[in-house]
Amino acid sequence: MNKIIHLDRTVMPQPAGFETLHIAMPEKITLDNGVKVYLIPDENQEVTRLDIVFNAGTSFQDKKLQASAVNDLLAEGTSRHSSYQIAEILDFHGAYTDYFLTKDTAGITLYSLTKYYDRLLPLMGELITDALFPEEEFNIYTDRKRQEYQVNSQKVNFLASRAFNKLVFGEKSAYGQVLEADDFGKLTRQNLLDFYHKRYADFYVILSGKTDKTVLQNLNRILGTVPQQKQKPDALNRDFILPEEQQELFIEKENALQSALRIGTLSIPRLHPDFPGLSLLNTVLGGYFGSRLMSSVREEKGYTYGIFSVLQSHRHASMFAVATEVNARHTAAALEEIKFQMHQLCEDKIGDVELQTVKNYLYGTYLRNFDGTFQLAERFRKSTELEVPFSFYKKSLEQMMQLTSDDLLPLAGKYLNPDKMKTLVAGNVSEFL
Amino acid sequence: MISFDRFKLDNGLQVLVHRDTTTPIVAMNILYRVGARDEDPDKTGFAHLFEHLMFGGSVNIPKYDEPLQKAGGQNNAFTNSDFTNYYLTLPKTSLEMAFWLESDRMLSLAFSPKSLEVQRQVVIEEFKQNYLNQPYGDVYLLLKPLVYKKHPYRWNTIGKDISHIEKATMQDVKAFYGKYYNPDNAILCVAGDVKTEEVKQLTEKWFGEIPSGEKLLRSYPAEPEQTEARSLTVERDVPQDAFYMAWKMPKRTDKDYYACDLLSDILSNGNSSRLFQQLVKEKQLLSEVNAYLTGDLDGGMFLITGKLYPQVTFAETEEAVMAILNKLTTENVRDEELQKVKNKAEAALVFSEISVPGKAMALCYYEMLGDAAMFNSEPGHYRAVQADDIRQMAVCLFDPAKKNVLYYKAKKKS
Repeated sequence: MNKIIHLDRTVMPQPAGFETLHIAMPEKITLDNGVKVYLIPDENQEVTRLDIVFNAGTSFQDKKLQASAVNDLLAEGTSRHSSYQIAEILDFHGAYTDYFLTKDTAGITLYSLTKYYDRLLPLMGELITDALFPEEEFNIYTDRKRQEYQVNSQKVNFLASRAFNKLVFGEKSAYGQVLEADDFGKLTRQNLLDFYHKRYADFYVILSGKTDKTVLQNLNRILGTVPQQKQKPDALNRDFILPEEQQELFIEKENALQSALRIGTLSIPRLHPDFPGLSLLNTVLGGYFGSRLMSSVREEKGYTYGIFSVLQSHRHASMFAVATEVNARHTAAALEEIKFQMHQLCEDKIGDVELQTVKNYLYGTYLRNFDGTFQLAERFRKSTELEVPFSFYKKSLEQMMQLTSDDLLPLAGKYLNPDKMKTLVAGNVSEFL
Repeated sequence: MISFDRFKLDNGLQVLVHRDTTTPIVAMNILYRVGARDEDPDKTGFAHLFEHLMFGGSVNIPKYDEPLQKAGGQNNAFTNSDFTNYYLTLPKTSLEMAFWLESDRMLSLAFSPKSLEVQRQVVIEEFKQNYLNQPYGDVYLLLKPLVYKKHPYRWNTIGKDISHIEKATMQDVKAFYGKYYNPDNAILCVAGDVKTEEVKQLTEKWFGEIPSGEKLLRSYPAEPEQTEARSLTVERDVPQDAFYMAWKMPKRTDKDYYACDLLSDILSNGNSSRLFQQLVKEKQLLSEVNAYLTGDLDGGMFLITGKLYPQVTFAETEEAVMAILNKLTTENVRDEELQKVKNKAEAALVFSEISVPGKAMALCYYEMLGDAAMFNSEPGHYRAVQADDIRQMAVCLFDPAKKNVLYYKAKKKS
C-alpha cells in the first residue's frame, strides 16, 4: 500500500520557517523645481503608477464640498483641452486615473502602460496647473452629486458613518465636517478656483512600477518645471471632542430591515507609543475574520453578515470604531454583545493561543500588504499623508510581536472601555430600541 | 502573459502552477464547477449558502479559519451563476497548509447542524443587507426573471426568495456536496514562488486519495428565443427614477463575445464613452449611466442602466438611448474609437496580471472556459474585432423584439 493511507489529516503541517518582512525604502530624487519624487521601481512591470499628492484634503477647505469638487473636477477642462478631449486621451491609452481625497491629502493617481507615459504626463501637468473648472461642468457635477447624496441617504450605513464622524471629531473641527443636503447650493465656481490656486500649488510625487530613464526624463521635463509655492501650514481647528465623553445618538430610518451600529471614540495617533498595542487589541476584537466580534455576533449568533472594528488614522487624530449592520430585531442584543466583548477585553487577559494567532495573522497581513510595487506605493503614500516615517511600519510590527497579554490588559482598559465611548444606531429605532 | 504548467491527477483534479519568484506570498485558488444554474428551482440560493458552509469545518479540521490565521493567511470565496471560487493566500513557508486545508474540505465536511443554522442566518442577513435594505437593491431579483423564462439564470445567486434558504435541510446540503464537491469537478491553481515538481508532489499527497464523483450530466433548460419586448414597472421608496434595459447576449466562449464586450465599452467605458457624453454631459437626462455585460457561460445579459434627473421622463430617456443604439446598428464606429476600446481592453488585461491571487484566479477561470492558455490569447481576440463586427453585433443584440426593460419608479412623497 502507499503512504497516503498513513496520512494523518488531523495534524496541521508545520511551516518551514517564517518569511521575513522586507520593506524596500523608496529612493528619493528631486526634480529641477525642488519637487520630491519617491521611486519604487519594478522592472518586471510594463505598467507605471504615478501619484501626485497635495496637502488639499477636506480638513483644509473653507466650505464643505470644496476639496472634493476641486479634486473631482480636475479633468473637466483646461485652457488647451475640453473635458471630452481629456477623457478621450486617457481612454485612448487605456489609462486609469483615480482622483483621491482624504481628510489630509488629495491628488491624482495614474495607472498606465509605461509606453504611453510620454503622452500622458503632459496631460497630468495640465490638470494640476491649468484646470479651469468650467461653469457648465461644475453645474453638472453638483447636480449629479446631489442625486448621489440622496440615494446614499437611503442607506443606514451611510447615515451612520456620516453622523458618527461628526460625533467623534466634533462638528466644528476640521475633521468632523460632513456633507449636508443644503451644502450643494452653497458652493461657487470661484470657491473651487480659490482652493485650487492655494492648495494645488505644491506637491510631491510617488512613481512606482516601471520607472525607466525615459519616464524619469519626461517627469523632470514636465512636472519638474511647474513653479512651486510652498504653503504655510494652515491653522486647522483641532478642537476634537474629548474621548472620555460618552454619548448616544439614534437616527430614525423608517422600515429599515437592518440597523447600522457604531461604537467608538477619538483615539491615539499613529506615532503614540501605545499605538502598536492598541492596534493588536483592535485585531483581537474585530480586525480579522476570526476576531471575537465576528465569532460572536456573526458566527455564534447570526445577527449580521459582517462586523469589524477599525483604527482609522489621520494626520492629527485617529478614530476607533466598531461597525456593523445587524438584523433590526437584534439591534439591542447586538449592542449589548459588542459591549460585552469589549468589557471582556478590558477585564481578562488574552489567552496565549489567541494572542499568538493574532500576532501571526498580523505578520501575514504585513507580508501581504507590503508585497508588490503598487501596494508598496499605496502604503508609502499613506505614510507620507500621516507624516510617519516609512521605516516605522516594520518597527511597529516588531513591537507588536513582543507584546504580552500582561502588557495588553491595561491598554485595553485605557482605550477600549465601551462605557467611555460614543454609540450610534441608524435604523428603525422607534420600533427596536 | 501568464506562464503556467498543468497536470491532472488520476481522480480528475486539474492542477495549474504559475511561478512568480518576486513574492513571499503563495496563492491557492480552487474553482468548483457549480453555481446557481445547477440549483433546483425550489431550492435556489443553495450554491451560495453552500459556499458559507465550506467554512464551517471539515472532517478532520474543526475550524477552517483558525489554522489559516495562525499561519498568517487569509481567504475568501464567491459564488455566481456558473461556478464557486475559493482562494487563500499564505506566506510561502506555509504552502503545505493550503493543501491540508483545501484537500480536507474536498474530502468531506463536518456537516455540523449548528453551522447550518448560523450560516442560514448569516446568509439571510446578507440577503437583507445587499438586496432588501439598499435603495435599488432588489433590481436583479426583478430583472433576471424578466429576461430569462426557462434557464436557471432566471434566479439570482442569493436565491429567488429568503424562504428557500430558510427551508434548506442537512439532507439537501449533503446531497449537494456529494454531487459537486469532487476532484473531477474542480480546478486548482497554485501561484507564487513554487516549483511545479513540489506542487505535484503535494497535490498527490493531499488530494490524490480523494475519490472522484459520479459522472455529472449537465443539461440546462434552453432559453426560448424571445419574440416580444418585455417590461416591468415597479414603484419603490427611492429618490430617483431608474431604468434597466437588458438583452440576452452570446455565450462567454462564443467568438462574438469580444465584439459584444467592446460594444459595451464604446457605450460606457470611461468618460469619453457615448452614453456618458451624450446623456450625462450633453443632454443631461441622467445623473448616472452604465452599459455592461454579465458574461455568463450560457449567455449572459447585456445591460444598459441609468438614473434619471427629476422632471425627466422614461419616454424621452429611452428615445435618447435607442437613438444612440440605432446609430451603432447603421454606422460603423470610427477607427480611432475602435482602437480606443481595444487599447482599454488590452490595458485592463495587463493590469489584471499584477497580483498573485489574481493570476491564480484568472488561470482557473480560463481553464474552466476550456483552456488556461486562453488568458494569453485574449488580447489577440480583441485586436481581431473589426468595426463591421461591432455593427453586426449591435444589429443582432438590440433587436427591439428582444428588449427587456425594468422601470424602477421613485414613489412620490405625499
